Amino acid sequence: MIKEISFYFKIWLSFAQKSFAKSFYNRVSSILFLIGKIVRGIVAFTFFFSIFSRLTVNVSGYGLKEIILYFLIYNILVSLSDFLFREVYEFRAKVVSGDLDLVLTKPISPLFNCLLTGADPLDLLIVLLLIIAMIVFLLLNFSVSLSMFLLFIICFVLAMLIQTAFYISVMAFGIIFLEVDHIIGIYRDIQFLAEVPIRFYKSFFQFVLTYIVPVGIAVAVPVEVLIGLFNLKNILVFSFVSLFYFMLSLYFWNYALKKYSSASS
Amino acid sequence: MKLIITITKITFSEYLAYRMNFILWRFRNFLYLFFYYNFWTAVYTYQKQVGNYNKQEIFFYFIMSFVITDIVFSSKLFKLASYINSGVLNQYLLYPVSVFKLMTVEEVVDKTFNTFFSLIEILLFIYLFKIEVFLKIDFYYIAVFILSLFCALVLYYFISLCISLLGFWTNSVWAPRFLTFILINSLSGSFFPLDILPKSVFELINALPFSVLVYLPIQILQGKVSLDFALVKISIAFVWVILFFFLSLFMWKKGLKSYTALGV
Repeated sequence: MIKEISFYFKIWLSFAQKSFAKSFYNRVSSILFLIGKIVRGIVAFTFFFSIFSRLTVNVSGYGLKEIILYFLIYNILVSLSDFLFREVYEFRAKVVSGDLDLVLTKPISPLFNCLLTGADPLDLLIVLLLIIAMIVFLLLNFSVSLSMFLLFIICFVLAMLIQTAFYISVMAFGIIFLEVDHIIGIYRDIQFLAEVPIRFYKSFFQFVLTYIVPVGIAVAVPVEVLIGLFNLKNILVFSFVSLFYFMLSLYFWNYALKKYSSASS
Repeated sequence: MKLIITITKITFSEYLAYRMNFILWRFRNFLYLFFYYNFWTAVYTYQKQVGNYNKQEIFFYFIMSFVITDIVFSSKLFKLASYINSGVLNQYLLYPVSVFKLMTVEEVVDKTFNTFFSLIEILLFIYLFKIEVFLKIDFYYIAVFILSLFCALVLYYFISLCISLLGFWTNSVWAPRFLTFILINSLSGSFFPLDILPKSVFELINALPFSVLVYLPIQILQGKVSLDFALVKISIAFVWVILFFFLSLFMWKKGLKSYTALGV
């Protein structure tokens, strides 16, 4: 098992180096891309800040400080997913052109190959900036014990499992219906809803964002561990949901591969 | 007219070629409305007023931003960059119709399709969620609104054209296009009314040409700005249009001289 992880890690590093080299080669493009992402982040932050700084009530334990922390962790989760799973955006082209055949014949897992081989260094830079901002903000405004921080890390890993499950499902969907971009778009729209804590929404929407498209709970639980709003039941439900969706996505991927017709090759 | 009918048929068959893609595209638009509705509903659960907007006004704003965004931002001009990079532009240069005439007709057809489907989605949404829409029906405001919308369409067309024409000098047009997309989407008011931002930020954004694309037309329709102010803003926007027009003309002429039809 460890040998296999080490093997795949080496492959991942090799692909990441190529991605990084490509980005450094297109320096101007990379800078423009980075500026775009930063502008988007700043505008989104200013927008949410404008809305929530006017709130006179504390919504289910969330004040302005908690919402800022939530915003930072949400963006870390999304940017980290973008960093790791960028290759998924190329997946439809592989299926439509028949290039997926070449992936399937390689002696490494096709899932790994399609999911993780396009690491984006610009997203890594944003993730690092956000992590620094989160740690500074956390230290200045909250007192978090080491055990709570470790629990936060565990919850964050589970949240990443949900993100991974989504990207795997998108690729499986792409094999069957030749469609990827709009599914990612829909997921991103749903993610927008999770940019504010799910406690803000009515119970129906809380249910949807917890169980149907668990992107809401994926951000909420790690944040609530840090701000002391969590309870054991929530964490257990969260663990179950993330593992369930991850297993389901793997099943869906294997099912979709059996349906792949290699039509264009 | 024949050209318009032919392009309409081609566009329609393009949509139908990947039906799932088309269905998901429209479904996504509807979901977008649903999400924003829920987001703003949640926000207004805890406060009665956000900036200058009460709940009804904000619903009207996001419904209108949905329609205007679909009309103004739907564009096929991005293809021009790939035509230049791949050498396909040669074919277009040999056609008996000018490439710009062809692309402009394509734009108009595409925008007509978008407007048609957007309106259906909006009406369905208003019916399903029983949203009350209060429109300021005043002839002058409607006329100025149409003028501002036209101005937004033309301005976006030339901005988009300039970005695509960069294809003459670089293969990486996606990067400036991404940056422009982000700037336009974030700063045009397509997601939220710009004046709910802090005053200094709002004034900074308002000085850029992007607010004319979505924010201004809706402000006019809601009667939140005076006609005089709106006309001044539209006049400034027309200056931007002229600037981008001459820039695109310059880029096209310069670009054609350096064009090597690489990739053919």
